[in-house]
Amino acid sequence: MNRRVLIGGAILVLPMLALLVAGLGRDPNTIESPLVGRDAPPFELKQFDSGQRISLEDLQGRPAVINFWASWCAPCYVEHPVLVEASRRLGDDVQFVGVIYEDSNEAIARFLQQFPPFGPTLEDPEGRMAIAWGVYGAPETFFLDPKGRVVAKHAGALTPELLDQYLRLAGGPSS
Amino acid sequence: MKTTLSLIIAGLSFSVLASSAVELPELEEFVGVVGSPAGVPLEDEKADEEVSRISSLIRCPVCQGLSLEDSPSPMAGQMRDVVDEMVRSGFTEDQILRYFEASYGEFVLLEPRARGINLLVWVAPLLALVIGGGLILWRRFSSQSEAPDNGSTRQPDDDPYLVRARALGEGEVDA
Repeated sequence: MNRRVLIGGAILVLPMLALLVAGLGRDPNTIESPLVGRDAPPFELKQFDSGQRISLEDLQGRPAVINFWASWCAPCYVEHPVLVEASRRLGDDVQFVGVIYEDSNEAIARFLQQFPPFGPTLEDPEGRMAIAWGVYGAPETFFLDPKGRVVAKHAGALTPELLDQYLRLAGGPSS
Repeated sequence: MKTTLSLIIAGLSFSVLASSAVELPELEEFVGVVGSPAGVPLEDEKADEEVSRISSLIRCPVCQGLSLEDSPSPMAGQMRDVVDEMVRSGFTEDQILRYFEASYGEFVLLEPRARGINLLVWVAPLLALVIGGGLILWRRFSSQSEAPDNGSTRQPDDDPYLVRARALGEGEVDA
């Protein structure tokens, strides 16, 4: 009888343990996005400083890095210099775009006075782009290949090494 | 008469074309994902009720297990605005759920769709009930059918241990 209980318990508990172990091995910064492998959702937004409109079509022809950020987001302060350095180094080979995520214009203006932008900064006042792109929070970064297809999504602050890896996936030059 | 009729038809066609030309760009972001509205546009209280009902089926991505309807977060508010716009434009519940699922994945649905591995959620409790109930009934009937053997048919005199114990007590057998 005890043996039966033991085997029955093992049948119930072992699959749950296996699921737990599999979950522990996952990187919490890797959020599976249904957009990966698909064409990026179209958008057309106004630039924060100039008011000029930028659409998805404007980005095609070279790899693009689309970063959702906010001035209230602490990891964004860590990530920002990484993106600025990469955009300077790679020049026109890669298009870097920032999208403001749930922030006020005053706070963004203060942030950009303190730190230079890494590319055009787009306003998303009603969060429509963030919703269409399945954004959970800031910072989140999408990598697009030259055809405008999403090749990867990263949640959390990017390091130079991670950025390099993702850019290679997007068909960009490696450092 | 014919000319008047042609003019009326031409006028109607123009107004239809003109209205669709005005509405289409606003709905483009939804139509591109889930197709043209398949339902009837709702207004006023009916629309509010439908928005509330559908919002309670969608998970707020930045909250812990709250629906859009229950969440006070700005993100949930923006997503409710999208639901509102879609309901008033004639998109059906299925189209609205598919729109959010396209960007956030099935995670965004508070009630996962009954397909694939998700079927386990519906089938497993029923299976457990049937198997558990079957086991209980089986044990009950099998113990009932064994019960007469244990009690009424076996006479104390037949028990070899009792027979030997009595014999030892009466000195008939050497210990």
